[in-house]
Amino acid sequence: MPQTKLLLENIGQIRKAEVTFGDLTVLVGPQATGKSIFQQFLKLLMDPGHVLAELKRHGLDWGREVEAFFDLYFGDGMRAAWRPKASRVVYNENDIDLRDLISRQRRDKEESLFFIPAQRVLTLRDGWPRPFTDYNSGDPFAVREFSEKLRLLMEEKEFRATAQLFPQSKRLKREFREALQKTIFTGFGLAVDKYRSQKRLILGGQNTALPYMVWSAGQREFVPLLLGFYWLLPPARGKRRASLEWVVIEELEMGLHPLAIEVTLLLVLDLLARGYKVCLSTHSTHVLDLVWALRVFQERHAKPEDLLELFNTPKSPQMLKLASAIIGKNAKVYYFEPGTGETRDISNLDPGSATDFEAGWGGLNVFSGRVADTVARVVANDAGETRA
Amino acid sequence: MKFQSAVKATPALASALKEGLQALQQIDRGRIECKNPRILAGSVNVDAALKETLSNAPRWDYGIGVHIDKKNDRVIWIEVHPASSRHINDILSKLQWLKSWLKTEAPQLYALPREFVWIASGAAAIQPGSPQRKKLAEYGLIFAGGRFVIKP
Repeated sequence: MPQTKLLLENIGQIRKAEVTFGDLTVLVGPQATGKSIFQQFLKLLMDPGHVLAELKRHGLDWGREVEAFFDLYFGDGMRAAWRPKASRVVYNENDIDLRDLISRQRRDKEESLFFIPAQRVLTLRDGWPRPFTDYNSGDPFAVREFSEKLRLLMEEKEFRATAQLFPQSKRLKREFREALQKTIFTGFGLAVDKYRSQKRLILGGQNTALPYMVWSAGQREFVPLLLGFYWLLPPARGKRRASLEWVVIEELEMGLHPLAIEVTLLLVLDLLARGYKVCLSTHSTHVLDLVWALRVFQERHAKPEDLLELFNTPKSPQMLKLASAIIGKNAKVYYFEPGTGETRDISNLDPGSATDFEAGWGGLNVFSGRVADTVARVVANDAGETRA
Repeated sequence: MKFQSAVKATPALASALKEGLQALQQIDRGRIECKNPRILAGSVNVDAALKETLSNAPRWDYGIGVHIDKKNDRVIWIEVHPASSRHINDILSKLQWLKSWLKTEAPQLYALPREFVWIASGAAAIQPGSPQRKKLAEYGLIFAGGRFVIKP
């Protein structure tokens, strides 16, 4: 199967962003360098029929104008990102006429890409997912749609009559559940409760029911992400949900302690093992640590056990099966460079690279590197040093 | 003190003093970048200079002098070596040897401000944020990856 390619030129902060996607693709770069716009474009280009049908279903009308569509799809004020004479979109080597894309009637309304936005914490209000129409028309489509999916999951699909959401024996591998229990839920379960006839999610233990507002910041961030994973990881029999083939997760690490990020990465590995293509944006070195290890493992013909060693996870038969499925996957990393507005392929993540953006992992390691070098200079010149 | 004076005061290295980066092997000169060569005060190939007299010692590779101001220089002590976690103990042994040798055999050089730098001779497998790099830092060693930039 040919690799998916996307090129954006002169859109928002982006001057020229060009990405060839792998099984796992990671986008890094400082704030406001265009990563999110890029990922939202990927969604639009993969699922135009679905996106347009959803907007219409909720009574939204952009009058076939690209600028009005930008305000609806990317969020209020984003019309300025589109420059009619300069902006260009090339998807899988084909120049895309955006006006045509957003105007044409489409039969195919199936969805192939599931988008988990960075603002996912906003999707729960008082502990319950907000419907699409609960948002302003100028709120980004990705947030509204994700929120609506969680609502459907809770009210119309498999959890409509479920009291206990976590842990659930048929959802997620046992090893994942145990790790999540330790690092995020700390002994509590996630359950559906009723307060004055209104359903709400609570964290519950023995004789305890903690409502949404008293959850930790990390728990508030993680629960929508967990529900997103539930959407993507159907119970035992199904490998993937319906027509979905791609997953975009913005800022996977949002609000999570490094130990919780580790577990979340394991869930991402499960997505990859099931055959999903995954595109992440991140400000966490953890994600790049994993990609770096995968590259070295492939070069050195490492064993699945080595991959599990990274996560200090039990080497059970099902975890070994998962690791075997992952170890040959192709991972790509792109740096969205501020200033130039261009992307750089830093997939090698070579710490010895002659280019600072690759050696410093797109800026994620620069501070740590500078700290280590400065400490080294202080120690080297300390007359009273005791080591070495 | 000046780098050249300190080298000349060190019998084992005096004859090894070269201008600029001339003491370095050509392949290793390519691993070092210095935008303004006028800041360089000279260099010595420690490994070659001591090869006969200390053939079994874990000798360090090079010393490079860099001007601080008109009266003072600093020294960047460079070791070019394979770079992965399993080489850390080799490097630390070399560093220990260098410091010990400088203290006893080259006190004038050891008196100059210094940096100890490890440049990877091949693929580098020690990340900037890793505990391994922090460990090196605690021993006073800068891990430069495959290329080191000499700054004023």
